[in-house]
Amino acid sequence: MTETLLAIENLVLGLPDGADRAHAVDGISLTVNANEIVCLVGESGSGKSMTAHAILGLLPNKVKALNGAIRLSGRDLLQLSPREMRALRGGEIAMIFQEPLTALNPLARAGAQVAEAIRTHDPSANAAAVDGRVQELFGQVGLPDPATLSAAYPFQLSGGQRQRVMIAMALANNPRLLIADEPTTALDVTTQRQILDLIRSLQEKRGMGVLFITHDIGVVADIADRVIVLRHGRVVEEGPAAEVLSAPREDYTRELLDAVPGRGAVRKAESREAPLLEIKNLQKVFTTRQSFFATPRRVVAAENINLVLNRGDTLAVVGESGSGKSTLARMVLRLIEPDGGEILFDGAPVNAMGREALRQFRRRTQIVFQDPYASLDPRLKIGESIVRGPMAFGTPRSDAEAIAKRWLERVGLGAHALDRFPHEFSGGQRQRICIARALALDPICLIADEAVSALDVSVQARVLQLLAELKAEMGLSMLFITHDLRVAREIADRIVVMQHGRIVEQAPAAELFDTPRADYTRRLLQAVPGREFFASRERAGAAV
Amino acid sequence: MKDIIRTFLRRPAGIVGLVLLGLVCLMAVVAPLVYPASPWEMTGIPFSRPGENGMLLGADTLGRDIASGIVHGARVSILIGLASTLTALCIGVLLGCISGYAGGAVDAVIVRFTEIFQTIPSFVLAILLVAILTPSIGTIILAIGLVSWPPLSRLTRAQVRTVAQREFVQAARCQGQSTLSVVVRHVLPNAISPIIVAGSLTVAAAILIEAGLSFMGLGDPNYMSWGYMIGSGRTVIRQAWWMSVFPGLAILLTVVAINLVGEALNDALNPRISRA
Repeated sequence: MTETLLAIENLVLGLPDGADRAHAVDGISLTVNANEIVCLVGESGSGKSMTAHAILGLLPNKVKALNGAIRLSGRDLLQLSPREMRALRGGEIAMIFQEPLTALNPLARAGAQVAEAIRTHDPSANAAAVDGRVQELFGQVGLPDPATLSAAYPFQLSGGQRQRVMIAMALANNPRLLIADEPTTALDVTTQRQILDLIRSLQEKRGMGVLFITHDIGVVADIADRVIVLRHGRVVEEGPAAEVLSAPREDYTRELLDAVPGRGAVRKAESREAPLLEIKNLQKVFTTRQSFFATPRRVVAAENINLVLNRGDTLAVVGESGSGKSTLARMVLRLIEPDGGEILFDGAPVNAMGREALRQFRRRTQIVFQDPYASLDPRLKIGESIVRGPMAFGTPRSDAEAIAKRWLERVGLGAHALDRFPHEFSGGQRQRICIARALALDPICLIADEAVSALDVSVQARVLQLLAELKAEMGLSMLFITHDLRVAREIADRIVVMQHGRIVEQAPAAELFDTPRADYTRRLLQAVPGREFFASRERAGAAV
Repeated sequence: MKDIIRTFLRRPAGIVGLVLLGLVCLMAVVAPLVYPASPWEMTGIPFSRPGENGMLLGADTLGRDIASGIVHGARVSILIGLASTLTALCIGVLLGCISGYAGGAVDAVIVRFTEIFQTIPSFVLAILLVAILTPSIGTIILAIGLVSWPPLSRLTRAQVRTVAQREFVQAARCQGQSTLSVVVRHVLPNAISPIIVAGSLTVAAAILIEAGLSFMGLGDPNYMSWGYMIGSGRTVIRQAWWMSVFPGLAILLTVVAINLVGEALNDALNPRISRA
């Protein structure tokens, strides 16, 4: 535990001219010892990924290390030649990336990719030995049936399995230092839990040092020995995990802790108002045909979905990826046509609406999408994007502009945002713009399709706050789709849990959290990162 | 708008392209003043080398002045290049948009229709069309336009299909905007970049097809064109390089100019670049 494996000393990384600040990383010093997990926590733009990339010499072309040193067992990595650096990468230092889908070569078998990692660093190894090693690694990372899976292509594996392959590849040459750059952010909660446990146990078995990068304090609570909190390229606070999390010294650390959703009291109020949106026996099956002769692949996105959204309520639909929850949102708006069943809005069947009725319906039911980068037209000014909605319903341009200005101010951006383009805003700001665009049409129902999932925790908290305020002000009903039970807990009156296109459980929020009936719900609840830590923190808070 | 022009003028490619294109157009405009005589007239000794007998760029096999031909030919080549590309763009972008956005049966029908055109060798079809319609500048433009649209249509379709799936397009539909407005205002502007580039290459191809047609004797007999000049000089290229090299250079310069303008235009239309 005492041997210092990695020491970063006063590292300064310069950004190119014209960036929002001069240094991506401004004088960071940190150490990682053998046999411990150090978590680097921070919001996007805090420089945590840059630091990790600097260690491996993977910085983008325009970013340069201006000062400082990165020492691995005493050797300064910044002074190494490219050749020496290559020998280190994947050898003594290995890295796991965020996106397991894009980090694997789609055209090579999983086993072959791991074998390549071994052969790169040991060209003399014979084929049988390498093969045996691959099988062994696959077994160690908990992949069932290593022989079959090593012959599989990445697209045949699930997200969790792909991440396990990535880990196997990283471990192939017994690295002393493992860098994990948000390795579980793209995964479902239950998979995330498994991968975190896996990293923890492998680290203990091998005595590796792990530098774990994340924005989620819940994950930190589960995995870290030590924590380093970053902000704007500087270290805000560091120390043993237990200490930093239970008694943070800095305000910023406290803010991050408080931003984690799903700790407040569960909302108890469920209105007894008339139903606004009723979904009855909804069915949808996607069939894709790979080739003319192949049997078509069927994916059930909705099977006998029944649910009711009352006026003024928030209904959260929770499920992992592939559960059909986003398809449900799109079917409500008829962006995707259902195969069968009925959707009633205010008593009127949505499926039977003609063109004009559908237009009027969509005006009253607006949607906010998941990805704030994809859901704004990159070639249009913000004002133009918002104005077009009201104008499509006959509002004169000058009035529409006034509406747009009012809503931009209401969501906290100010009227000057009107004349700017989407790329000039951050993720959280763009999501506010999307909310303004939706509300400019004066809807009575808002569908939020993973509206806060792509945002950092602290930004997430502020957007959720905004949504709750707006809902109260306008008396909106909300269909809130999310994979994160913590978020659902924060905002929902009633929760529906979906799996494989079926509703597994449906209950008022309080009931679902106190006495979950379905096994699947229980599994989801147990997988929430940092669950024990926050529970104990709450108890402590209540005792004081 | 101001941003667009500013970015365009800040790109060296844009300025160079615009200047070159301007020179070619100027040449077309001042042709009757510089060389008042018809370019078809035999004014000198056949096979004069460049600079001999008072002819700047030499004479062709019949003693016609190459320089005069290039200056006069600029009109026809530019007119045909631009007009037939415009025709091809109109057909291609329209069909590509419809088939890409509508999908389903409409898409299948349009794609099959496009494939019919693609399976016929385009130059043969152009010859056939011009021969049937009798050669004139109008029919040549029409024929070249009719054989050049399929690649543009397929490109547009592919672009529209990817852009139409993006969330901002769905958001626009949910805002209640009409299909036409969604396609014209949201889908097309985001799909247009590669189409502009492909369009500028089509201009080059059109000038070359016209050259081929003229070489076959299917050009408009009233107008001298660069293609005709290359065609007629091609047989003697080993003895008299200047007959095909100078008109060839003219085509090259024009095509490069149009490509540069297209590239700069593409940057200027992208707010990410023009606002940076």
